[in-house]
Amino acid sequence: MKISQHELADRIGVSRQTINAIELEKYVPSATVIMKIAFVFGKRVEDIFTLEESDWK
Amino acid sequence: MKKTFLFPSYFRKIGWIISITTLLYLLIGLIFFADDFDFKFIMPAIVALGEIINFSPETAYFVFTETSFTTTLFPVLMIIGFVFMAFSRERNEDEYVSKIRERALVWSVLATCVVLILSILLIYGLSAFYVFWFDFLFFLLLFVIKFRIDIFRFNRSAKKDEE
Repeated sequence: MKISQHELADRIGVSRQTINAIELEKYVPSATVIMKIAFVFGKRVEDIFTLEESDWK
Repeated sequence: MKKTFLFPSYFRKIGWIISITTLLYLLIGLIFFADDFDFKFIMPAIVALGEIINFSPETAYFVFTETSFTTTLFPVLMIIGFVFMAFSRERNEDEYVSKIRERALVWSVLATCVVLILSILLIYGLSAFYVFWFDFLFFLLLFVIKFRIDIFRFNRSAKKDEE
């Protein structure tokens, strides 16, 4: 599925800058946004977002 | 999305207009007209200074008192202008912007506390009275500056990535 940052941002109701920050791992979005992203791509949340070692610290 | 206490985004412009006009009025007045621009008027007051008995003013309650632009209208207009500037929605308001706002708020509260502590310790007399409300304006100003810089960086980061 090909989709631009802009389109994704519009569909889930956040700014394009936020999508960019999520991609660059600068920002961990809220559960609502995470689930919306998964919904748009038709995947499960775990297929897109994973926990890292540093998240446990 | 949860409801916020923010004003609509066009309030930022109104805030700029109010604070710049008020500040210009004060500055031009001070520079060119000395005390003449500082018009006086009567206001109802809960606590005021009453008659002067034996060289010391008595405190009066629930009276009408004379006041002037610089001591009442100026701070009120500045606070209203700054609040509009500081707490209006961004055009691309979302959860990341809220996070940036929260961080800027914490940062500016801490910085203001440092300035307030220093001014309590270092400034005495009548000037100390002015310092307190000025410090509140300083807090709003600091918050506006910090928040705008962070938002500018946030917007620029996405543009850079695009290039």
